[in-house]
Amino acid sequence: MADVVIWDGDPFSVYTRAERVYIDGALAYERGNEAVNPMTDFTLGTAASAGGAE
Amino acid sequence: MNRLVTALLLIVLPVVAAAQTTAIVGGKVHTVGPQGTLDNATIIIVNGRIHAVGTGLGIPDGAETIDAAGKLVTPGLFSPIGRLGLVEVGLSAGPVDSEQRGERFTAGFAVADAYNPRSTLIAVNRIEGVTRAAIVPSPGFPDDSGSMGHVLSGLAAVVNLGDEDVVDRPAAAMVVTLGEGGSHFADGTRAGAWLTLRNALDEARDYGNHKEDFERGMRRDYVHSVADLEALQKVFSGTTPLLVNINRASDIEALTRLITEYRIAAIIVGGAEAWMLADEIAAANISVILSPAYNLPGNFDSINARRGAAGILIDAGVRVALADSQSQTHNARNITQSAGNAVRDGLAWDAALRAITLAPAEIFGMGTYAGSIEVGKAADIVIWPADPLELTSFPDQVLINGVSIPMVSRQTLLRDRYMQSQSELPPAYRD
Repeated sequence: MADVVIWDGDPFSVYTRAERVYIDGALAYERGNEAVNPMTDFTLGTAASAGGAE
Repeated sequence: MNRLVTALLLIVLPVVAAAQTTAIVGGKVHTVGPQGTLDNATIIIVNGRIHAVGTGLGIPDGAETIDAAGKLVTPGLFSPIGRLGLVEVGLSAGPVDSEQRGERFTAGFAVADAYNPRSTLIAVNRIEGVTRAAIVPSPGFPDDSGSMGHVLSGLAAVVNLGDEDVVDRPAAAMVVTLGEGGSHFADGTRAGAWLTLRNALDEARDYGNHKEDFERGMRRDYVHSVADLEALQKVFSGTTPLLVNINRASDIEALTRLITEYRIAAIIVGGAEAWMLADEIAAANISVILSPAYNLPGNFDSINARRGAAGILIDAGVRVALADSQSQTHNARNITQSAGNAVRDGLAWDAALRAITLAPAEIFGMGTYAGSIEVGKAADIVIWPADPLELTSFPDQVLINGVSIPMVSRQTLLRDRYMQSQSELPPAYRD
């Protein structure tokens, strides 16, 4: 299975963030890319949607 | 005889004290004070206090020297909230001394009297750099007899994790639980929790202004005991701020109104939605203790929890201390991870270190005494081989009040016993 994470640094570092996540080869998350940054129905319309619950 | 002993002590003590000089030499010192960060610096400690900090300092004759070349040196970590030394094992009433219950006392419940400096958890936390901690009571949920806690659960204390004179401030804050959490202790209503607090403050103010009348029986009866009302006098005198467990923005707005009305000081704990009111909180001079990784809507008070909240508040001028979670007992040491998480979400590294050292010291009235490496302050110092905010960093040495503590805990002893896999002896017969 092509489950792959691309990190912006040492994955064991507290500072490191996931840049992109692929699940079964498909891009499931990309930091900063609204098109692949899912938002739940619950979060829609809250103040947190501006940068909250991820 | 007693006089003779006293005379001998007077002669002997200064000689011993003069020998207690320590120099930490050659490290990269993050002072978290006006001197900023100093490369290849020396710290001189005399009698438990920081005597000098700088580069190119001479080392006094007879000083014990600690080589910190190639190391990072920081102030001791200050855990801003938790139950260290109050809880040995959770889920069992005997070793849990932080929960306030029953009808006799609320605000007067003081955890300092129950603090156990010999708990195995003290060493577990101090060998990872925690040198001081605020320890707090919490309202207990009903026990077997149906006895439960209150909106006011009593006095938080500040302790140091050394071996002597461990209680620094027995009445460092007055703990209050409002919002959804507080409603459990006010017949299920949010407004009832606020009214409970207002009634306590009103009674305490009335009692404080009319003590002599009260003693003569010429004052109305109060809901609260004299012990509670006496404890609340400290809130009005300015030495003991309210430590308020709230998350929802509307409760934070209600808090700013209340402290303005009563002219008292407050600290917010939790503060999931505090970032939405950063400017108002800064203007009200309210400090915030929060967990940076807490970004989920765990209940309806925290719907707008988000990452990056610490940075938003600090940028607005709010004093912020970073916590792991309120129930820290074994893991107050994890505040370094919280600080690292905040840096990951955009906070400057120096600001994150301040939020686990000087900021909590200032919040609990210890800012002139601890929290940074400055001349005159208590010598709480940690020597690290690498970045203290990384999970893989472990201190080489920790000093509390100038004393190098043994870098041993029950956990390291167990590790060392079971690492002897080649031993023919059963574990109980090994060291």
